[in-house]
Order: sequence, then C-alpha cells, then structure tokens
Amino acid sequence: MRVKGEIDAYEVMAVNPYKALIVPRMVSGFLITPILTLIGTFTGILGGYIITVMVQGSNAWGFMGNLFNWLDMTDILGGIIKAAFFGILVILISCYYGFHVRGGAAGVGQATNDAVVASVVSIMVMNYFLTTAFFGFNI
Amino acid sequence: MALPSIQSRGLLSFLFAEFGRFTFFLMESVRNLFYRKFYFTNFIDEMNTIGSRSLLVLFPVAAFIGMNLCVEGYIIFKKFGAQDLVGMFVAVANIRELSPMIAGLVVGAKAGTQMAARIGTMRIGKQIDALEVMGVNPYPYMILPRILAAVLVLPLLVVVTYFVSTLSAYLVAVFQLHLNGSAFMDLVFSNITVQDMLKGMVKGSVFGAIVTTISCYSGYTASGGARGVGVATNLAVVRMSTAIVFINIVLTQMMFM
Repeated sequence: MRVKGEIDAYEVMAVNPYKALIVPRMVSGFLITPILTLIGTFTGILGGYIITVMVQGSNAWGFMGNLFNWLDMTDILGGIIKAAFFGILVILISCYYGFHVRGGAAGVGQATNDAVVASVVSIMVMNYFLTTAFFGFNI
Repeated sequence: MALPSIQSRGLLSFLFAEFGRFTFFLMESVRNLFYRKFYFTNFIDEMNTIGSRSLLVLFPVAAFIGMNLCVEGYIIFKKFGAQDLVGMFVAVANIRELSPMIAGLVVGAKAGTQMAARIGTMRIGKQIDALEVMGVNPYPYMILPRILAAVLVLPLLVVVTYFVSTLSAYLVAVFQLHLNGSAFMDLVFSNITVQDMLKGMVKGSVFGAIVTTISCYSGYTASGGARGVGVATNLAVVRMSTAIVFINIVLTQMMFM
C-alpha cells in the first residue's frame, strides 16, 4: 500500500492510517495469538501422546496422570500471556517495516525479509526475559 | 498468484497444481546439476551471502535459545529436586534437535526470504525471461548455486550454533542459576557423542537444501506486481518452516531411533 501511494491517499482523505491500518492488526494479534497458543498446546500434547503411547507403547494412564500432576494453571497462563506479548511485538515490527517501505517491488521483498528477521530475533530475546520474569521468581 | 487461484479453482486442485509445479521445479534443478556450465562465481557469492549474512542473526537467536533452554530445564528439573542434571537436558535438546532447526530456520528467515524476494523481483521485472531469451539457463545460473551453497554452508553454521548455544546455557547455569559449572560441562560431554554432532550437521545440510529449494521455488513462481513479491516471500517462510518441522521428525526417527 505504501509503494502504490495508497497510504498517502488515506492521508489525503483525512483518514488516519495508524487508526485504519495498524491498530486493528495489533488488537487482533493481541487477541488471536493466545487462542492459537491454546490450540498449539493441545495439538502438541496430542502429538506427544500419539508418539509415546501409540507408537512407543508406554502406559496411557501414566502419561496423562503425570501430565496433570506436573502441569498447573500458571504454566498455561504464562504461555498465553507470553503469546499475547509476542503477537503485539511481531505485528508492531511487521507493520513498521511495511509502513516505511520504499523502492517498488524490490523494496517490498526487502521489507518482508527485514520484518521476518527482526521478528525472529526479537521473539527469541523477549522469550528469555519473559520466561525469567514469569517462572523464575523462586529460583 | 496463490490467493486468487485458491478462490477461483478450489483448494484441492490448487494443492495438486502447486505440488506438480514444485515437483517439476525440483526435477529441473536436479537435471541441471549436470549442465555443461557451472557458474562458480555465483556459487562463491551465494556461500558468502548465506554464511556471513546469516551469522549475525544466528548469534543472538542461538544464544537466547540456549539461555532459555537452561532456565526452562532448571524449572522442570527443580520439581524433581534434580536441578544439577540440567546440563544433560540442555545438551541433548540443543545438539540433537534445536541447533540444526535453529540454523535452518535462521538461514530460511534471513537468506531464504532474501532469495524469494530477489528471484520474485526478477520474475516480475521479466529479468528471468530476458535471461532465457539470451540463452542463459536460469536453473544453473540462479537456482543451483544457491542450493549447493546452502548444503555446504549449513553444517558450519550448525557447528557455530552448537558452540554459541551451549556456551550461553553454561553462562546462565553458572551466573543466573548458581549451578556448578564443571559438573554442567561434564554432563554435556558425557551425554553427547561426536556422532550426534555429525548427525546434527547432516540434518543441517538437509534443511539447507529444503529451505533454499522452497524459497527459490516461491520466488520463481511469483506473479502480480509488488504485492506478488510480498506474497511470494510470505509463502516461502510459511512453506519452509512447515517443511523443516516435518522433515525434522522423519530425520530424528531415522537417525536416533
């Protein structure tokens, strides 16, 4: 949209591009990533169950019992809060790179590339600090 | 290209068409391994691009993965009162699974998206057509040097990842978690063999082949102006990360079971 001048057109029409383009994406990222995390958690545990119980043939009740013994609500909540942070972070970074792209088709490709790299690195860095903040209190 | 054709043709026929196109691309790449001309300068250039550009991204990612792994392992092992054994967890998880995947994903995120964007731009600017008109075969000229370079460079990046992530895990274990450093390193060395590390390097080079093939394919089939380049780059990331995770399961089952 930046390359084709559509964002300039928004501004000419007195529509605030931040309100129209960035804010909806950030809010939806904040709301959707926790739900995706729940689905991911469920699918991941299901995959682990299939491999350990059905393929390797260990005890199903042992697997589920240990799962519920050692997992408590703070783990799941911590994961969800982390995911909400990541959602905002990734969308903010991607929108920033897209918003300030210049230089035609090549520039769009370059911006997408930069956005992916910056998102990956910042998620990894953020993850460590969030883990220490949420789960590392009583170390 | 991708989104409109899903809507116009239906998901199943879209998947079949895409699969067929990818198979054709793959066959053409393999066939051109024996092309009469090998563009050696391009090959060296690509090795430089993939290796040295990805290294700057790889360092922080690998370091923070190692640190995080150490903290998580500590939290889990502390519930059993076995927090001194965290070195074992870090070593096995890091060297067998995570390091090749991190190296593959970082090269995908950095060099792969760049390839998709660059080749997509060339496709949309009709530069690939111009190459063909000039009698230059685009596969040995653009695609093959990238794939071969990734296959050669990725194992080295995997070794760097081993070193960086284990070192950062060690630093976290000693300075944040106050564990015994030499006991930590003892556990790392006693649970990891040289064969594990070699297998990880093989994994890395398979991931390199997959990542570069998929991103070159996504760029090569791009269409539709500036937006098409963005779509191609996006598709490259989605396809390569899914493919890496899937192939990783298969490789782990083949190597370590």
